[in-house]
Amino acid sequence: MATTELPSPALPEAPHEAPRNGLIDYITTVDHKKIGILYIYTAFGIFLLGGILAMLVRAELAKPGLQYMSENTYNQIFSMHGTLMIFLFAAQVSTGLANYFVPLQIGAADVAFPRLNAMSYWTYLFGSLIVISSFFVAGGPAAAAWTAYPPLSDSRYLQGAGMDLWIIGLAVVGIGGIAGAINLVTTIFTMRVPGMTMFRIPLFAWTVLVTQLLIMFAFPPLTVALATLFLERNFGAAFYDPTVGGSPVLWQHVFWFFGHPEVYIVILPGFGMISEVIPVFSRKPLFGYRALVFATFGIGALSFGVWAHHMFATGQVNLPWFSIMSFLIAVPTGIKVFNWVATMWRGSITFTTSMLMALGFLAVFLVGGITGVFLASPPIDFAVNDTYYVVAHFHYVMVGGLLFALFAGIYFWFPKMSGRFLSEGWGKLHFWRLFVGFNLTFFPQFILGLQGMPRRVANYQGNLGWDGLNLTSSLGAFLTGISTLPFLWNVFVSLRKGKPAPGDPWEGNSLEWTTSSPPPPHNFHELPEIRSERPAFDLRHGAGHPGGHTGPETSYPSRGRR
Amino acid sequence: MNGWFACPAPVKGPGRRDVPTVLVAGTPIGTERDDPVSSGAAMGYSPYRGCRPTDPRKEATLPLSLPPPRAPGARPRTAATAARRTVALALALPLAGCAPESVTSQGDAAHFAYDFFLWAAAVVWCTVTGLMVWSMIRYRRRNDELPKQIHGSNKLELTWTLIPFALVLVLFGVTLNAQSKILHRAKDPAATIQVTAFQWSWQFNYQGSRAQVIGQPGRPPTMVVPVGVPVRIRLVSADVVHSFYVPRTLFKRQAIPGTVNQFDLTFDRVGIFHGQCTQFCGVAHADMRFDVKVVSSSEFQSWLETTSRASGGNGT
Repeated sequence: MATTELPSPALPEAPHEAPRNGLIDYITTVDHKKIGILYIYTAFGIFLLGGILAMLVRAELAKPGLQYMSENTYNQIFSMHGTLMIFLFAAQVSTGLANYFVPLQIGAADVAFPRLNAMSYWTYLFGSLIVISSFFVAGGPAAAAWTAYPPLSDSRYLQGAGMDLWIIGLAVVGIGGIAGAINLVTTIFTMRVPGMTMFRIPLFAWTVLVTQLLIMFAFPPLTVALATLFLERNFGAAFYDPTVGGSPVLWQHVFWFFGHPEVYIVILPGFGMISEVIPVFSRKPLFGYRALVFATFGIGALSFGVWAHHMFATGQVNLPWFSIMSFLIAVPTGIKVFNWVATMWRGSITFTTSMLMALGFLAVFLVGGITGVFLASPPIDFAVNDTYYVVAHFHYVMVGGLLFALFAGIYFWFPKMSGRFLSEGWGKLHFWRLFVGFNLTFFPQFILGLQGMPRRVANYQGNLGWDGLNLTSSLGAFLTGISTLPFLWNVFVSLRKGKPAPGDPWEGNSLEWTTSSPPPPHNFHELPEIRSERPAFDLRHGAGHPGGHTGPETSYPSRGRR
Repeated sequence: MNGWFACPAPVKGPGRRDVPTVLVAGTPIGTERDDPVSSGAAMGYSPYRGCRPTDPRKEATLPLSLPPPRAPGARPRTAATAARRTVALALALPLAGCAPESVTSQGDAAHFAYDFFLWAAAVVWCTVTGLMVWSMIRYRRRNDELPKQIHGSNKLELTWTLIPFALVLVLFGVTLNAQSKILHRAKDPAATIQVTAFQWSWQFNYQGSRAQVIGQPGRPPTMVVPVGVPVRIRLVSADVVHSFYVPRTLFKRQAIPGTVNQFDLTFDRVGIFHGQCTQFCGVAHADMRFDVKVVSSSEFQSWLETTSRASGGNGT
């Protein structure tokens, strides 16, 4: 079996490997794997907090009228739910997995700038803590929704430090995000092991590359928007005040110029995880690797041209342009879905929890994607924009799309990270509760939206026929919430007593499966020769295997010579 | 798998049977109970239930409609009836997410677009889900033999690039067509109403008259409009961004401070329709409701005169 020695400079200094006290180690570490784990734990902590807020929201909405909280408290809770979930969980958790796995997948010993990587994480943590600290200030946290449209978010209408902490915290998190993006993009471009050409890096690394490029272009506008809002609130700047020449529509443009790419920042890494999981558990190569890469770039590029579809109802945007651009984004997304299904086609499918989560992703994301096409059409958007239809749609896309993919990734990579398997029994319990609970929560919301129930209301009238659907949705939300418990238990137990995992527990394809579980601090003792986008497969089956790659070029679009 | 069967379920929710059934003139009142098969038809309970047209004149224009509701408590008498009802229900399932029937001519255009999209969506959903479920059943792992390693197929991938591309172009055409109807503004609207959104209610001023209606958060105002003629809405906001939304017009528009948004609504039937702010606007956003009362032209004129006198008396 052909192997190449790593060039010696890539090996870290010997003292680096000396074991250290756990806590001090994690605070001072610049190891991409440990920083990745810090990201994942932090993001999950925020996810749990955001989930508790979501259950409070659904508890209040289970019945018409106000039961448990004032309207203002409700507004703060749903605003913080959105903020925590979108800015601090969804956009960050896959950065954690990217941190851990991208260097492994491209055969690098670490990221390009390990210290900058540590700084990105700590910036993220403290930015998040600033946002969360707003729960403890006078007046409580921000109550202007995660979109913070001025003039509502201006100090004339929303006093208190909560909104300012929201602005500062998110700006700080944004800085960490931009630094992390520069780091990961540089890593993918420059740190690949010899033989690992761009068209041999795994799809997850591709989606991380595009995601981080999106962050580089989308986060600066957000920072600008936040800075102007801060000036508006505290120093009387007049960007958004129409009485002195400002425009509230301007905020919507800048915010959504960030906000729509943000959707893809959240879900593209999910697409990447799915593209890793489905081939392994179907025992076939990814169908149309290059098409998936180009589709990822297509989605990334188009995502900057569709922002105003969030603004159709303003009456202040060019409808046909933003409509057709939004429609077009369905094409590369459709290519991805068909390629995933084609990967399963004539495969040999094993239904591990990871694969079930991937299939759950496909089922849920399909509904989210299809309803997105409805919303790209202004006549339909006029009817359902800002109703529960949109709430259902983006939960199917973001929570459904990201969360199922993320769990697929976690059940898939947990053995690599910890050296132990997660329990399949608890995992399947987790999956089925999540899948049933999720659909029970959000499918009724499509119908509620069509019936005219606006989003972000603390209260609704009992005579509009919305009671039954709301109650169903709330019960579903609690089932979804409870589904997290078997997962937490599973992680807790498996870390201690889980079945030990070998280096390549699933017959994987990409390079991370050729090292030990967990990998040594410098990642690889030796690396196989890279002949295709499936080095671990080639290593297992030998370069001469009919399905393996032999030449210097990938054999795409080979029909599987035999 | 994704709850496309969810539409009839809410009818069985707690308290549904006690909900007042008549909200709109001409709504057929169903009182069916404990007959799961008929729950599709029972959606006629509320105008927002939506899947079934409530105006018999409109029935033919919708691509699919359920049979009219049967007499209370009746059971399917013949196998043919039962079969017909089962088929109707089965056809209604993909339409679980269909929009409420519109009450404006502009809304009809949106409704047509929605139905068109829904059918396209149903075809796509069934195709992909079908392929997925088939793979899950047919290609599950049976032995250790490695399946044929297929890396891709240009022909197939081109197919599933071009077909969705063509499909979205068709959908875009439908969109443009509906959009021009919805946003068309009459040269000479029968009435022009200045709608001012404020935290947290609405003010309606009738141009060419002194009539005005001002609401309060707990007391939703009523906007009275004539039936059958285009009514121009001039939408403004006094403070933050709001959104003017009457669900059964299938239309909304943001009220943005510093901006005047104009559009026409042509109601095609009389009745009272619920409206609400849909852009989050602060503490009492949920209470920012109003009603639209559509009346005959003569009734509208007399209402306008009366209200105008009353408003004038208040020194407007």
